[in-house]
Amino acid sequence: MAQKLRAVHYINQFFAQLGGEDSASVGIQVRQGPVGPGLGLQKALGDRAEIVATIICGDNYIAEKLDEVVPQVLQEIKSCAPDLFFAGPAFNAGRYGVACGALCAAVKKELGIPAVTAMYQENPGVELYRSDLFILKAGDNARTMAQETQKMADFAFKLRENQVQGFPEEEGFYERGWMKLTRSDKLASQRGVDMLLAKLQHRPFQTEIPLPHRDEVPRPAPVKDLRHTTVAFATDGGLYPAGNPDKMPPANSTTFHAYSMDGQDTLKKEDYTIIHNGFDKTFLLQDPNRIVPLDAMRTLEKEGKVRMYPEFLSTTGLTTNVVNSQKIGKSMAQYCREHNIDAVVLTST
Amino acid sequence: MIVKELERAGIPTVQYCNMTPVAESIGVNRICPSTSIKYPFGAPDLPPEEEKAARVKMLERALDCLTE
Repeated sequence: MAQKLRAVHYINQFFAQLGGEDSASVGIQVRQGPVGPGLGLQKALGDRAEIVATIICGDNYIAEKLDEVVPQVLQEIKSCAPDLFFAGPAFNAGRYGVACGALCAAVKKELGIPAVTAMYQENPGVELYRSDLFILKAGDNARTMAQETQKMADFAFKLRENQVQGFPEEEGFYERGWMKLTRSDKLASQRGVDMLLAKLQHRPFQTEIPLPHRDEVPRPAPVKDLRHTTVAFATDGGLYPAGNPDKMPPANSTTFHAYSMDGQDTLKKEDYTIIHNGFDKTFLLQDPNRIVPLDAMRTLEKEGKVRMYPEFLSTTGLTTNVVNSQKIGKSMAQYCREHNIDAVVLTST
Repeated sequence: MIVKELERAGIPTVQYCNMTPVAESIGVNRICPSTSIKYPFGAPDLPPEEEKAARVKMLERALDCLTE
């Protein structure tokens, strides 16, 4: 009987059921066998492979010090002598997706074994790592866990047997920016003319070389003299007045609001709240200056170093999709223009 | 994404954040790394007066990015 392959699985603190944001700073832990979604992954692997270890790490612990922690996790992975590595699926969890991508890239480079992860298209991990490795497409929440783990299991074997032949749409991974040679019955000249005719006649056609979409925004001119510059604070960390009077959502915001800090020298904790489900709010609730540094700004204002716009602009940036983020950004830009705001410091958590 | 729209309107903006590779991958022009996801302008291990002094330094660093 063929030897069962050895697999290692990486998951975050939430999927390991250690807790949510309150446990996001938990360090590296190694457990024997499958844990949490690893059980489903083991089922999908069947007799082909055995998950010999699960490595767990808090999302903040790894995301805050990626360059330090990835090599540490890699050591743990190496010591398990795996044939396959799985991370996630991360769905739309940004820190988790970045960690999964970074770990798979490191495993692929250092161990040369199949390293598979899956995440939702808007996960920042996709853009960061899609050129380094195959990232499978996944839904935006754990409803589809069983399907994703099945796809991950099957894809790992395809990778191992060098059987990944098809285009991204067929194989289910995000475009890697590669060009693939294929045969065609038609000459390139014929295909080119067919495409042009289709374009001119407003019929659909499929380009053979999709050009990368570059949204390069020119760097705004630097501030010449902060003393004569009105700087506004903005945040996507969900800082709002206590009671959340504008009923801002804890995720997926579509708007922002401006709140006055006139007459205040510091943000008092009883006056503010954080509406954001994506991180541990304890520290900011204790002292909201830790996200909008009003007290520090007043110090610099008194020293004549800078001028502060008396309101801060706030929204909640958890899983806010690209379209809504752009909408919020455009309306913030409009607000800045209308209120003579010269520059912005935007704090993200 | 929000920062890109502000920049597109010509407003010098600095993103003060922890996961700088994410901001870089989107093409944000001015990024200033913070020391933590949970308390960007904070240093909760320090006593309050020292934390505030540290915060002033962090803010100065972020504001300096606007001038570059």
